[in-house]
Amino acid sequence: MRRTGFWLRWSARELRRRWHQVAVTALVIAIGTGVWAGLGSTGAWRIRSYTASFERLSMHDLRVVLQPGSFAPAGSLSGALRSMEHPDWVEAAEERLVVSTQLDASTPGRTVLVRGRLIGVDVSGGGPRIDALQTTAGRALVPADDGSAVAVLEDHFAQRHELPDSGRVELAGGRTVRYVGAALTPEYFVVIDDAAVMSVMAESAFGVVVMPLASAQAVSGHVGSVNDLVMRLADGVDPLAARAEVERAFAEGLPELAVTVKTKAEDPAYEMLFGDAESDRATFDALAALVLAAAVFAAFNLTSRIVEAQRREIGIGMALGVPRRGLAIRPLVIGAEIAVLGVVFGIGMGWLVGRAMSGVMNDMLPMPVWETPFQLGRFAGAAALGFALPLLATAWPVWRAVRVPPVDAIRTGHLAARGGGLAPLLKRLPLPGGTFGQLPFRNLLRAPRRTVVTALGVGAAITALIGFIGLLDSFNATLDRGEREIVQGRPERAMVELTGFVPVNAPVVTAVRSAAPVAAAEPVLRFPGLLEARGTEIAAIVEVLDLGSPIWHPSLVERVPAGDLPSIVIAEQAAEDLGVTVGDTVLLRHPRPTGPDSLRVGTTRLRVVGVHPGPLRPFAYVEIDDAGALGLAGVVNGLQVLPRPDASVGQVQRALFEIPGIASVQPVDTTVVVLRDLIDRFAGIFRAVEVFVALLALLVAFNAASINIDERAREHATMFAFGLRPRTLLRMTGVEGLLVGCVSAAVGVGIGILALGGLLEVAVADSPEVGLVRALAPGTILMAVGIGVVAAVAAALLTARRLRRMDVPSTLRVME
Amino acid sequence: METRPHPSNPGPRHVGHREGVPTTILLEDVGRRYDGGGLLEVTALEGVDLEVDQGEFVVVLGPSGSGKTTLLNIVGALDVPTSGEVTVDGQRVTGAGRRDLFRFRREHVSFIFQSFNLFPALTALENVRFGIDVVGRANGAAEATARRVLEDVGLGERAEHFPHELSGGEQQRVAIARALATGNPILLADEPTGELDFRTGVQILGLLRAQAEAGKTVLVVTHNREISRSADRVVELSSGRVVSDGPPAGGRADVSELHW
Repeated sequence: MRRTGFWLRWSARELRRRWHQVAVTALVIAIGTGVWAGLGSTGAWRIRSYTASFERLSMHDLRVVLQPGSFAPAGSLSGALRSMEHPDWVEAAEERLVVSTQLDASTPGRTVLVRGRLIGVDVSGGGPRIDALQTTAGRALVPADDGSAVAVLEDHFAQRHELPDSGRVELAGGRTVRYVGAALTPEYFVVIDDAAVMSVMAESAFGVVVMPLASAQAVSGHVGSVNDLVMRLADGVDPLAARAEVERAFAEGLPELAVTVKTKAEDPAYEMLFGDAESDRATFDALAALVLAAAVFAAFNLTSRIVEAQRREIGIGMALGVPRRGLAIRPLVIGAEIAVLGVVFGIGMGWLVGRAMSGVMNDMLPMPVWETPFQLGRFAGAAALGFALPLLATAWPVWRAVRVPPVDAIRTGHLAARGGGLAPLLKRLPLPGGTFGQLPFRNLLRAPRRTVVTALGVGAAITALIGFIGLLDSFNATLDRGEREIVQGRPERAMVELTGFVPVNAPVVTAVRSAAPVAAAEPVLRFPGLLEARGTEIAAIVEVLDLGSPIWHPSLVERVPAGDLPSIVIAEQAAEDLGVTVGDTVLLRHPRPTGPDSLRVGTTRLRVVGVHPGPLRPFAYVEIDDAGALGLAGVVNGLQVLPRPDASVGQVQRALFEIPGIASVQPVDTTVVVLRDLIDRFAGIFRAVEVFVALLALLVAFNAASINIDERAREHATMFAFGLRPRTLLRMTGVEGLLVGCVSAAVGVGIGILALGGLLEVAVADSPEVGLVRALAPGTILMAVGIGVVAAVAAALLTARRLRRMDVPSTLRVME
Repeated sequence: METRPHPSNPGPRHVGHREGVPTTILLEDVGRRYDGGGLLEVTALEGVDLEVDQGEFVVVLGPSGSGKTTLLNIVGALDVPTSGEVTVDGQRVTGAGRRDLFRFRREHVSFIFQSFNLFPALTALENVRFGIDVVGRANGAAEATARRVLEDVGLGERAEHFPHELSGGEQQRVAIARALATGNPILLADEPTGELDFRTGVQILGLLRAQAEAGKTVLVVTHNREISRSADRVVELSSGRVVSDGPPAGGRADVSELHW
């Protein structure tokens, strides 16, 4: 026990002597473990928070939806539940009215005309109690509002368009509604417009208005009617079993109604949020692993160098006959102490990262509940690694040290001098500045292993940075490419969506064409489909249009003349995934009208006459002259329009908003805007981590520079004895830092590009429908290089104080 | 830094002072105490008076802990006295600012160390050139000057070798060349033969002796009484005080007569 205390006291003194290096090494471990724990915990936090949020607002367990256009008298839907075999399974049920609408939420100077949804809910007694509302601005709906044209707006939509807390919006049919606040509601925790091409995070082009049931019925012209029923089930009831009973009850009680019964898990927002939380976990884990690897590598380097400095003391111990095992104890205790300190700091760092992530996630996706508790299991894994690796880093130099013959280990003075490493390689290299110009380069090469390890340590941090920002660059490059393709120099182009399929000469089409602000309009037919080739099947969004349209047509990377088959243009990514090239054929499964009001799925073989550069894989284009081959001749469900030179998209939107049969009018770049929003939100997470990564690079560089100062103290003292100005030495140290920074940046960027490839593969596996463009912006490379160089130079300069305070006589007197 | 004229007759002169030869090093009642954080105060030097003339070869002799290295450091402005006055090469070192002390070392003194302290990443020639670069007097001929100085110490053939490729004696000769290359008038050597065998040590002493004969002031610190026989003067220290100051007992010996 006494002996243990002796070793601990000795090692503690050693730690005190090198406290700044120990603290920095511990911080490096802490950043690695903290980011690993913090970033890696996001998946668990999201799932926990989503679960709590859905529960907080009483998300429905089952939902009965009537076929579009069908309505039932209020009370009949909930009444149907009485015929269930186990009516007690349903704890609560509320009827609603859900109708599509158009929404004009324009404010002075800003046109907001979007597709929308009006939801009428039971507000009696503080309702709705199922799929409840959490007020985020203004006030909640109250029973007194029932019957008045009063509403609340869905929070994401209100936030996206920066709408005031209260105001007026106009719905289809020219009905004006006063809104009194904004609220979150479970079905729109993430706004999904299932009728849109880019359905996710659709708040920029899709607004939800919630009103008291009677008010919604009045505004929509469906007085006394409902078309939606939401239910909460009693605890322990199997939702699938309950759904089966509800389906039976409706079939028996209201056989004239065609209904769909969906479980909570089938709700698009619910499904997407939990699905994304799981799939994003892989990307975050990969990013966190990069940071952890960087930290671990750096900690290994730094710890081993701290211990290496004790080789002479180990040699003295050997000369005194201390057993090797005994000699190893002290440095190992030092390694253990650094590891423990790192793990302790790591808990704090993990908490800090957690706080940062919590804030970022709350901004990114407002939810009623965000819970970010410390993930002990996750952290324990990182802590184990953070603990084990410094120990391992200690073991290696100790193992080497105890194998050196004692006579060599205790040798002092010039006899202990090491060679110049690879420095002789530069002997013939003419460098400006005499010996002051030569020294930084020579110093780098005299201990090449250390230089490489330091460069790898800083480089590892840069690698992580390149991985993070490169991912954003790639997303942005993908979007830029998509935007170029969609806009093609005409950002004023707009897409008009009709409420359904209509003949090409229908009044709505004519009305659009003749609208005052419209310069040109062409009919478009858009429908979902499936493309198949060589046994692979992918989802498609098919647009039938004039492939030579002067308004817009897809630009083609490759094209062959159309042959005997109808022609289709697919995305490059689709061609790659289907294994086809231009000239090959694909099968398209698509809706084919079989009568005036009926459709069935048909299959048509088409020739791929071209590929377009758009990054969204589903987009495919069929020549309008071939529509007949698909059984779709003379039918359209949209138009693309160009405003007159003196008119804006907003004016077109407003003019067409009045025409019956139009679902929405949106600028063509709406999809890109939505996606940019999405990326911007994710960027918040990456930027939070960037700060830690940059700090990591600085700490690694600082400790390496600090250890260099220790190791070269005698040389520096000699220089000072000759009267060398401290600023000259500092300049040399700075140049050396600059060189280390450049090497680190080169290593970091090189490995970072490889790492980015891996991250993109993970991202592509998550979203195969997006053909991600691998990109690294020059600005990103410059920033990474800048961080590496600045960190290394700053670290070198941070040692200025130590250089200036050097006790030259004492340093010269020290033999080792 | 205050410049003082070389004292031609400042008062009582040391034994062997040559009339008309300026005093290069002047220590008046110099003391140096180290404060050990309140627990321990160490007096390294106390009441030391010392005058060294230009071109003198002086050995400061004393056992370990006698204060001889502290004395050398104070003369070389690496350390500052806690009492007394120090004037070296006409510069008042006492009370000078940090920046002035750096400039003083650059322009007036050069050190030679027991462990040579060569820069391992530089060749012998470059180590010597470092001395020239620090002073900044080369006017574009730094390399030629360094080569010439290296040849002067007999290492012209070893110019491109790195320190670890040289013997101890060769390394010390490079160190001397580095000190000489600065062109400073005062050489301060701390146990310059401490790590060398007798034969090599004698060669090094011969080199230093030659520098004194060429007009440089050489102050050598050693615990080796035999070395002091080659000096013009021996200043013996004990417990931080000068206990004797004069020519070597039995007169100055040629370095070839030394033996240890």
